[in-house]
Formats: sequence, structure tokens, C-alpha cells
Amino acid sequence: MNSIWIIFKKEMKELFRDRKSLFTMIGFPILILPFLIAGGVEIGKRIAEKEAKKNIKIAFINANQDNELINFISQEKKYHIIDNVNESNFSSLIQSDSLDLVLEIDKNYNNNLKLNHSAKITLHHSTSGLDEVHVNFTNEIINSYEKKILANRLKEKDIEESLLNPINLEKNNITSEKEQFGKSVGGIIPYFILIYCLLGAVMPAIELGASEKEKGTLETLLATPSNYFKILMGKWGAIFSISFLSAFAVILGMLLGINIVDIPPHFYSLLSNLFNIKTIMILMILITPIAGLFSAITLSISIYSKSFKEAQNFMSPLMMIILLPAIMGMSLPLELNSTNAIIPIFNVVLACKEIMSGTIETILLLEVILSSFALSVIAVFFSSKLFKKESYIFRN
Amino acid sequence: MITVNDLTKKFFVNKKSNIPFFKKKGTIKAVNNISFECKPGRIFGLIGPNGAGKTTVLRMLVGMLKPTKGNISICNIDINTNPEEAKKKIGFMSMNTGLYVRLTTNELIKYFADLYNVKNKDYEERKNYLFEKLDMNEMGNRIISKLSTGMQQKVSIVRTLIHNPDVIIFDEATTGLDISSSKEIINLLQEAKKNGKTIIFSTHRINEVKSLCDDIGIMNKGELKYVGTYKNFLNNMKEKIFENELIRIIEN
Repeated sequence: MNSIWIIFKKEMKELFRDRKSLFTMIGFPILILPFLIAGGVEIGKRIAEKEAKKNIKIAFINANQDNELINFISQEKKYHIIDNVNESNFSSLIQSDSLDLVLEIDKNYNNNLKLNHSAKITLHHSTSGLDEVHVNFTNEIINSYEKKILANRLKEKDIEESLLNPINLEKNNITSEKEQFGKSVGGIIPYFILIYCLLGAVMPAIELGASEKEKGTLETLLATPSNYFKILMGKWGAIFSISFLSAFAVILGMLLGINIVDIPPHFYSLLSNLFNIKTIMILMILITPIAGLFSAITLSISIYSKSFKEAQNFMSPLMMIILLPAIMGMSLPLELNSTNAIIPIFNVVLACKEIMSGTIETILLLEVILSSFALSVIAVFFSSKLFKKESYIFRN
Repeated sequence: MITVNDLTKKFFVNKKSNIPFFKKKGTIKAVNNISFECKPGRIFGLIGPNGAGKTTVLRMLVGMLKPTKGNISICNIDINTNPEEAKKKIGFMSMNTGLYVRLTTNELIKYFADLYNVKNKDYEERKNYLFEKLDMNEMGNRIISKLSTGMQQKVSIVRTLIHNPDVIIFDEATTGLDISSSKEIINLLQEAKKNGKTIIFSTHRINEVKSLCDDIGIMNKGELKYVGTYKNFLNNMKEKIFENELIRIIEN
């Protein structure tokens, strides 16, 4: 029997018997992702319901200047008008959340309107984050009231409204909903996959490298007739398998989540469109060389490390280095092209986005896969060189 | 048969330099130009204080470390030019030897038998023989982490000898063991000697040297201070007590 296969089988057996680590690497994403999806959907639903129900508490100062405006605003059901607010107390009322907004109408407002001048209204608010919605909503209401006044003024002067709008720009977004959804969600999914692909490599790599050095089992293995390259390949194969399985567990967890959780029908159809068999297959092909690369890098670090603890210390910055391009790929509004298709990890995230939105070009996909494979082979080669150096193997 | 000629091993080390945060590269000689021979049917004891270079010598014999100079022949096979063939002849066990604690005894022994390419029939025969010898028949299906230190040491011995090696190399294999476990190892070595195996072992236990060794090598600071038969050593002692004679040779 080939030594690579003998070593691989034994390493897999040992790794599968380490139940705790196995659960963290494979079981956890399968179990936790449906919960995360369910939680996300529930929070989304609640926010939407709360927003729909929530009234905007509004007050007016100098309301007598324009009764028509007050009536116009009062027609909106979202507004709840608060009385007895004046210039001296509105600030404290807003800060104590008794009020959301105050419209202060200028004292000369009425005169200015009559003279066809600009009339001033000040919108007082104290907003951050979600509350900004109230300001935007009121802004739109005032704008539509302003349009009404403008239309009257133009009518009085016998001027056509089109005179003020020589160009009527109509926006028509031909991007399909699937594409838009894929571009946004498609960045987050590979991020999760890459994290687990790396985590899936880190633990077994430490176990099969630094930990074996510390326990003295590596010494006995090196005394056997198996050559160093075969020993390394057996170990690499086991790390690669767990890394790949961890990445697959993320996809499985997401699939489970989509199908178990009560997702609104519209989102469900978009999500199930993203996760079809073809997409999953391409994702797994894409992740294969990355799992190989991560396995080789983590194994090299582990071989170099004197102990389990030292290996853990080295792995932490590695995670930052590897996840940085993933975060960039996820957040930057960039498209895959022949140049960035050779930037490791970054290219995988961009390719995932394109795959999920259904816009990937075969030639670019091939470029990503081939460049990742080449990098993976180089990393394994480097790892084997390191493994042959007795100054690294017997560093302690 | 082990033949060692002009064996030297240098290690690269970092030395302090005058420039802060920088280190100079330097070398130390862990083993300096040593030669000896271990013959079949005889036990060779390698003795010396900590840091004498014993482990480095044994690691070179097993092919884990490459000599800077000199050559090693295991059963007439050069370990540096043909390490895979030479390693097939060796059974190596060190004091640091760890075991794969999540495997059962049988799984671990089969793993090493496979790595040494032992045929299934030979494996069964050899395993049964060693299990019988070391009273391990009940242990086969037990997970190694559940075994006591002494039992684990027995598993280590079976792992080392499962391929019936011609050359047995033990690096302080009895360190930290209780008397009965040490005794079992010693008995096994004596039987291996009777069967014509070549045995070399390093130890700090003088009793083991006295009761086992046919030949001895005394090392200090990488140099072989004495090499010859145990009988000759006893006949030419300048001190009355064995231990004192050892110290005298080491300090000279």
C-alpha cells in the first residue's frame, strides 16, 4: 500500500475521532447557519413591522402661517400631531423623545408666499441611523407640497410646467433581480465559506504538525521508510479534506437554513435561485484549490512551529492576512476582470459574486481556478521543501 | 550490523551580536569525527552526560539527521544514499516517543506495520508473538489514551519491533519507566540479541549498562571518549568503582 494513502487514512481516522474539533469545523456551520438565517429573517420582519406601525410625532411652530400645509401633513396617517409646543420647549421635547420632528414656519412665511418669494420652513430633528427615515419621509411630503404651490404659481402666470423641465429623465434598470441580489449576497457567502475553509485547515494542521512534534510522534514517523514527501502529502491530504468539508458544511448549512426557515416567498425564490446545483458545483470547484492552498500554508506554519501554542500564535495573524482580501472583495463594488482574476482569495470572492448573480464569464472563471491551482501547487512545493529541512523539523 | 565512520554533525545556531536585535549565524559541533561498529548478536551501550551528542548520533543512525561529514552503513546499506531501504532494517524508539492516543493498540501497530510494508500474515504472527511476550493480549482493542504509561510503553515496543528489524535503536527508552516495564524492555533486548539482532541503545542507567552491554561507547561534548568491549573496559579501569571510572573518562 502506498505510504501517502496509509498516512492519509490514519490521519483522517484520528481527526474524525476528535469529536470536539470536528464539531467546530463541520457540525457547527451546519447547525448554526440555519439559526443565523432564521434570526436574520426574524429581525428583518420585526424591524419592517415596527417601522410600518411607528408614528412620527410632529409639532408646528407658527402653524397659523399656513393652515393648508398643516392640513396637507395631517392627511398622512403616519403623523401624530402634538400641540402646545413652542420655541422654548421643542428642543427638550425632541431630546426626551416626546417629539420626533418640529416644523418651524417662518413669521414672514405667509407674506413671502403671497409675494411669490421663497418662504422658509425649518425642520428640527435629532436623528441618527434608522430615525433618518422620518426626516426623509417629511422632506418628501414638503417637496410634494412645494410642487403643488409651484404648479399654482405657474398656472397663475399661464406657464406650462414642462417649461421648467426641459428634460424628463426616466431610469430603467435592466439588471435582473437575481443579478442584483447575487451581487450583494454573493459577497457574503464566499466570505463565510473562506472563513470555514481556513478554520477547517488550521486545527488539523496544528494537530498534524506542531502537535506531533511536541508529542514526539513525528520523530517515529520520520524513522519509518516512508520518504518525507509522502509523509507530507498524507498529512496535507487529510488537512485538505477537512478544510474542504468545512467549506461544504457552510453551503450545506445555508441550504438547510433556506429550506427549514420560514422565509418570505419572494426572498425564498431568490435564495433558492442562487443555490442551485450548478452554482454549488462551481463553488466547490472554486474552493478546491483554495482549500489546498490554505492546507499547505497552515501545514508549513505548523511544521515550522516548535509547539502547539507557538503554531496557534502564528495562525492568528495569518487569518487576518487571508481574510483581508476576502473582506475587500466582499465590500468593494468591483467586477471580476482578467487582472484581478489572478489576485488570490480576492479573485475567489469576486468570482463567487459573479457566479451567484449568473454573470460569470467562463474564461475568467477558468483563470481564477487555474491561478488558484497554480498557487496551491507552489504552496505544497514550498511546504515540502520546509519539511525536508532538519533545522525546521528539529527546531526545538 | 552498524558501521559508523568519521561521523561529524554541525548545527547552525544564532549567536549574540554587537548590533541590537540582530543575531550572528554560527555553528556548533554536536558530534565530532566519531567511528564505531555495532555487531549482530551484541548490544552496544552509548553512555554520556546530557548534551554529549548521543541523541544526535542515534538520529543520524536512523536517517532523521544528515551527517555533515562521514558515513553510516546499516546492514551494508548507506543510510544517506539509500535511506528508504536502510530504514526498513531499523526499529527505533526514543524517550520522546509519543503514540497516537486516539487509535486503538491494534490500529496503531497495524499502521506502523503497513508503513514498514509488513505482509498481513507476517503481521499477525509477529503481533501475536510480541503480545504474548509482553502480556498484552487484553490490550488490542483499547484506545491508547486509556492505557497506563507502562502499557503505552509496551505498545511503543511492539510498534518498534513489529517489522522484525535487524537493527534495534533505543534512545533512553527506559527513562521514566517503572522497574517492571524497564525489565520487560531489557528482557526483550536480551532475546533480540540471542536472535542475532544488532542493538544500540543510549541510557543513563548504569545497571542496564552492566547487565546488558557487550560493547560500550562513552561520549562527551560530541566526542567518543571510549569505544570497546565492556570486558576490556572493566579490565582496564583506573578507578575501583565503575561510575567513578566513567566520570574520569568523561572529564578527561
